[in-house]
Amino acid sequence: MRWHIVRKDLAQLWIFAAIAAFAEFANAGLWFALGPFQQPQELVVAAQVFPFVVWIAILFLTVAAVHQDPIPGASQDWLVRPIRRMDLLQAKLLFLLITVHGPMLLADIMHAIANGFPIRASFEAAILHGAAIFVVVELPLLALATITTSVMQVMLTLLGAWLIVFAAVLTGTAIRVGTPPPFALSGMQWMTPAFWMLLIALAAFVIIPLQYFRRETSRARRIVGAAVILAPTLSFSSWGMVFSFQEALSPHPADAANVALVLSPAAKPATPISSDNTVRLPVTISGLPPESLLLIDRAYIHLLGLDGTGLYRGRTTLKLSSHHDFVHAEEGGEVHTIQQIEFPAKIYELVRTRPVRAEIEFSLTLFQTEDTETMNPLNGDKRMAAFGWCKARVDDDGDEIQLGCIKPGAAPSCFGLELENPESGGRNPETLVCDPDYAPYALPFYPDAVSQFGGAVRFADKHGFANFPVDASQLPQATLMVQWYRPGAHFTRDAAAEIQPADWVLH
Amino acid sequence: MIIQASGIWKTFGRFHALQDFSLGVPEGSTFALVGANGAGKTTTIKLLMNIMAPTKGTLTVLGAESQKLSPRELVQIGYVSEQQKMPGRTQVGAYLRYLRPFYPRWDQSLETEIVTQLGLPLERRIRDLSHGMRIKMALACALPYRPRLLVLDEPFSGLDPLVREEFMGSLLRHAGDVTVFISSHELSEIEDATTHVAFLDSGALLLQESMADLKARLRGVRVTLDAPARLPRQLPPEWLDVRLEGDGLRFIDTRDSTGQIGERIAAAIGPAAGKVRQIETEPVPLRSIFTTLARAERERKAPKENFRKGKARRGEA
Repeated sequence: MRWHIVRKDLAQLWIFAAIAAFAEFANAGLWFALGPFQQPQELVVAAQVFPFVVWIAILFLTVAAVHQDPIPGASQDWLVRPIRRMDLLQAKLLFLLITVHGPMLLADIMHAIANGFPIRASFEAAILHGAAIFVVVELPLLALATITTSVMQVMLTLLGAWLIVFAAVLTGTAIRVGTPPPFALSGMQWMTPAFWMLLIALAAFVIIPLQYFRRETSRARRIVGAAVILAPTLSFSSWGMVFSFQEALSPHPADAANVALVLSPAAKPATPISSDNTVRLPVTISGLPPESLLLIDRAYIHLLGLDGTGLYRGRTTLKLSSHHDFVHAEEGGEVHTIQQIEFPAKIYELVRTRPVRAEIEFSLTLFQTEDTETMNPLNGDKRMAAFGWCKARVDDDGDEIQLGCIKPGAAPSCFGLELENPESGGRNPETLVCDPDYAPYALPFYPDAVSQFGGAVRFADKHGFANFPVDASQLPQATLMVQWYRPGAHFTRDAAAEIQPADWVLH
Repeated sequence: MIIQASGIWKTFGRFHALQDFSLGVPEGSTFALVGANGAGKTTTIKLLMNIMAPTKGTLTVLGAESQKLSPRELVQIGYVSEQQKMPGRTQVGAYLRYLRPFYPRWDQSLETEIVTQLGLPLERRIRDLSHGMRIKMALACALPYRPRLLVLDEPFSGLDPLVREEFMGSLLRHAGDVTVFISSHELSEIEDATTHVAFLDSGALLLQESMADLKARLRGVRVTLDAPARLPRQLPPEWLDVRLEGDGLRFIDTRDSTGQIGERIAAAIGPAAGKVRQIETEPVPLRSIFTTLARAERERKAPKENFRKGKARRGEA
């Protein structure tokens, strides 16, 4: 009887199903049309919006399918018909697989194959994308539809949930005196959506059988309420707790076993700064593996008087002149960098001319090179295992090499671009395209199963301030190195030194 | 018994919709569950269709526990309700076609006959049907598989007399030897067809009896006296709805035994009230039986309620 129910729903909802399928194919088609360099520009905005159109179409179709035989209430005709509850549930799932996931799978595969990827890789990425959408979007929507009787109720529930979570996060920020959640803007940002996804998937797995087999709508609604209340709890956790969890997830913790970090006040600060209450402490990091990147996720500073009295507690991150917070150890071994500490003005006045003890607790992540590829920077066109299909070209301004890549599955979250002239041995500074993401999984959610990413590396300065070892004249001989970095170890180190803050401020 | 309820309670929060409700519906009967609005009729039907679960007690339908009703039992049960929500976007004909495969005994020629008799527009969407048409549609969806048990929940509510007649006509013609369990307060419509009746008042069952026994037991009585009538000092408990009418008394006797009625009445009235000249008895319509019983039950409860309210007003425990 499952197919019989599916046919009934299809007869009722074929227009919605057709719209959802059209949206999925249009989304894939738009992104295919954009190509590796995402052009023409006029299409980019439409393409960026289209995945949301797809999700809204999925929402409406899922809710409409479930509401064909609504669960809440006591007047529905299907309740008195000889329909097995399991058949009804399976029919709804089948309907969604046919109308949402069938076209999605097909669109994803066609998008990947049209970009020249093998069928197997295209299929794997499409299955992963479909499975992720099914568990994280489809099942929760289905569960939500089982506790409601109209699309309006679904929208109001979603809006209410969003308002509650938003208010809770704002409250958390207010409690922390204006600072965002502890791991916002760090590589651990994945934990918030992951926690939400886990919550909503768990709630869906409980609610769906509860509703289809026992029709306990009040209890199911309470479960949704509990999930909404639990959702913001992570933003009330501490950095230490969250980083410890991330540390336990380190894929290669041994890589950082020899990394040591000391404050080395004897070294000289390198670059000037603008603020006069910012102390710049030289730091020496040793034991780094070659071809690695070190990111100081956060540093907690404790300033003590020499008699042990606490003077200041604060937090900061490493600020370097380039590459933001990354320390690049190309050869491995020892590198020198700067720990910047910006004190509140009152604190700085208090401590500037007195000897104090600075104790710093560093939270660090070591990235290891996963893969390195080279390609021609001038109209390069290459298929690479790690990066998919990439093309390189000189940008419209004539001062950068642009790289655009298309890859079935998730995009790498951190990679470096470097221009090298093998003949002269010259190398331009590496450009990191890195939005650290320490998630232990890589799921393609947006825009579909095929990811598009890219970056740019400079070889000229139009204003003439900078000279590059590999300049425009050397481009025909140069190669573009693309290096994929993956987080290998998350760890903490403590360092301490006696300083007089005013000695470490540049004027 | 095709339906057997024993000690059923259904509670919504602190409100008892059904209180210690027990009844048995014999197979082949047409069983009317009668009660005022809010008496608990629809709740009873929702419990026996497993749309709701009882708070306490056991309820079996076709031999199966109501909470474990499976498609095996549901293919034998037809259900028509004034509140029944069928898929509005679906056309009448399409919905009938959808239902067919669920019922192995679905008789398509019977379906055609019923649809024709009820004048159902097959191409029209269900949401575009009038209330009466929807009820007829529900009946057309309940009869073609010749159910063993037909459950009708307030089927006449909001129907005009013509539609009621069409509905009952179709029902009587096609029901055959099916057991009918019908809840209604439209008593005149069901009186002729009913073989058994149960009265429900505020969630409690007042009585359950065969119509034959009930009609034999409850008789309308008019007593003519040779002097202006006065009410006896002590009314017999089996006299309900007692009224004075000139030189006579009118009441419903709930313990009719035709042979001794004269002696019982004379003894109850007493010599002081005058001499009984004539006693006439007549059958009581179901509507009067129901209203009389319901009124009597409320009067029986009223003194207790008033007493409680009085105490509450005085702030006593």
